[in-house]
Amino acid sequence: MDKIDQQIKESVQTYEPKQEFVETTMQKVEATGAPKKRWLNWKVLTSTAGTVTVVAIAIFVFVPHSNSPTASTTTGGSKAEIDSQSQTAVNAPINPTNTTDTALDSDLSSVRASLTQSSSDQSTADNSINDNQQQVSIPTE
Amino acid sequence: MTIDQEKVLIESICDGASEQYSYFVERYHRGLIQHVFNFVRDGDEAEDIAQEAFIQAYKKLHQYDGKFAFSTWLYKIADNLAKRMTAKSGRTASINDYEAFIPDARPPTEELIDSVIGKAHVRKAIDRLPPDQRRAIMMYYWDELSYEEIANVMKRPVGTIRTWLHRAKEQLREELAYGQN
Repeated sequence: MDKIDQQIKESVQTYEPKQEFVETTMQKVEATGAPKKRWLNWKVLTSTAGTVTVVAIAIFVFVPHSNSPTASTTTGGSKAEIDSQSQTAVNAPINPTNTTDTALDSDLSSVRASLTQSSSDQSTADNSINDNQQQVSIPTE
Repeated sequence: MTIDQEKVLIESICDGASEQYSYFVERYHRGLIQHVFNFVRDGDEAEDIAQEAFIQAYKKLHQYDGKFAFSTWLYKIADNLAKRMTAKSGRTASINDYEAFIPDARPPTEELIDSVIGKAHVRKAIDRLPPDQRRAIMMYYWDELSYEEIANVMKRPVGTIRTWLHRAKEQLREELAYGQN
């Protein structure tokens, strides 16, 4: 250290702070309440918002939409899932006693009964016409 | 306490242990008040600014990133406050402190007077430096901050601080040599 360094260093005018400085400062500090939490930090907030945006964009880009040609319009699954489901359905054994067939049989019986009734009604009508024809007398010249 | 230990303490204060902040006030208030006093040259004003700096630092404690010592961050806050206040009042630091250097009412010895006048002469020369060089000189010699810490407080590259200090020293050397002749 040369002379000029020494001169500058020694030229400092020292100031002695008041004794109550620490106490009054702490009173004012405590009156301000708790410091802000780290999660309220603007940098953290912007970083979090950025991450959320990136994730949202990634979801938008990589997850297929409901009207995409690679997805079902009803279930929204991927093409691979739909292919798998279709294959399972094709390979499934046919159950001859399922409820749909029973219902159809029942309906068919009703239709047959109805047709039989209609046929009976038709016969009755024919007989009536024959009777009427027999009763009509055609005058001869 | 090391920087890492101070960081742990700051985490704890951020989590609600506000009374532990008194450690920082106890430890740094003298240095901070002296730092501000070097700038504003008024004891009461220096204490007001230092107190406000402590309160601001406490409120923004979550923003302290731990790259530098807590004291460096604190000095930066105090510096900004001091600059704002002096700019508002339009006052520049001036030296009229011959009397302030005489410690009591006893008749001063010739040696003491020489010393007082000599020191005041150096401070006047420092006051004539460009503002940035003056602040760099004060922080380097009086606050004993490193080049890196000064660069951080003044938001300038370390090379710039080195250049400012070199130029300031040269100017002071010339002025003081001229004054002694």
